[in-house]
Amino acid sequence: MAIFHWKLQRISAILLIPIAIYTTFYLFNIGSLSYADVTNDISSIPAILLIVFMSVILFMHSSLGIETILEDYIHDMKTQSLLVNLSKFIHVILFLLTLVSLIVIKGN
Amino acid sequence: MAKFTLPINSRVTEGKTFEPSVEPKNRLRVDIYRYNPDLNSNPYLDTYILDKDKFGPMGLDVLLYIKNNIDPTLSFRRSCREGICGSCSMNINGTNTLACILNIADEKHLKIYPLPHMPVVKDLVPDMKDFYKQYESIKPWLINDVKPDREHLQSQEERGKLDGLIECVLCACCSTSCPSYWWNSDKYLGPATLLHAYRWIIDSRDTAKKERLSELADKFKLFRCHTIMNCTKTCPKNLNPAKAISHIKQMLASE
Repeated sequence: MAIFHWKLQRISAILLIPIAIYTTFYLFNIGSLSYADVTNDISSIPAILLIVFMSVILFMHSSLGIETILEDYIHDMKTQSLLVNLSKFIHVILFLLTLVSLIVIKGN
Repeated sequence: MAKFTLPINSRVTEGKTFEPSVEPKNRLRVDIYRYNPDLNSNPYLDTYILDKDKFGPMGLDVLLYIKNNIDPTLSFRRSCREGICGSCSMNINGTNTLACILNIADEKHLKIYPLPHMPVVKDLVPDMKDFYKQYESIKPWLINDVKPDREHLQSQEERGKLDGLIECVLCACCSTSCPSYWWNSDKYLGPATLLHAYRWIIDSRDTAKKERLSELADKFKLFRCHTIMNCTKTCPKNLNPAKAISHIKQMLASE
């Protein structure tokens, strides 16, 4: 399990590099786009797939990282387990919120 | 929760200052952490003003001069005085090192503390009990049921793989410089022990590679290493424990 965690953390970190570069460039240019342009970009099928993929990788990487930090610094096992599960729950909620947002934007 | 501040009874207070009657020509100020469990008081920092012309150029020469000429109550471990035994490991000017191989000829001010995050027995003497238990846990001996007539043979290439590993003298400078080891020294094995674990894993004469690797496949024993690299930076023998740890991780990941 420890090896799987370690591998997943590194693979997700590598996958985040191109995603982060693309998103940064897009955000730099967002000022020159109208609201309609942005919603059109987001509601296209390739964009939805990219955002869903990006969210899975991002929230998984974040969850694994926070789990590692909690294991490092919280020594009481009950508190540690509680906070790790809370962190996982929050990440799932954030992912679901992303999906709901995409559905709302696509619906409009 | 990890502790970010020292408990009240561990806070270092100001101690005595030992000054010579005549101002030394080649002045060296040395601040040394002192702790005596019999006094039932906080640790304190004693200051010694010395003349560098009166002793040799190494950190251990300074400590021996103080113990022999100024303050015989100062406690520290030492033995070989040439970086082989690993006894005189301590923190000098913020870096863990062996006092016997640290050149202090150009220094004007030394701050000497015991190895960080270890229980202190007295002054500069840390309690190494848990460190040695961790070392024992990796079975640091040859495991091979085959009994050869004379000895287990190795090619030069196979022997070459052990270079940079067998030179470790278990001084614990690397382990006690590692923040992960500070926070989780009860569960994380630390760089020194893992370097030795790797030394036995890649030894061509050893037949317990799989067992050794599976023993380490634990999120605390091995994977608390976050590649901070303090271990490699501080090693007084210029070894690379971080590289050894990363090789163990790669071996586990590719299994």
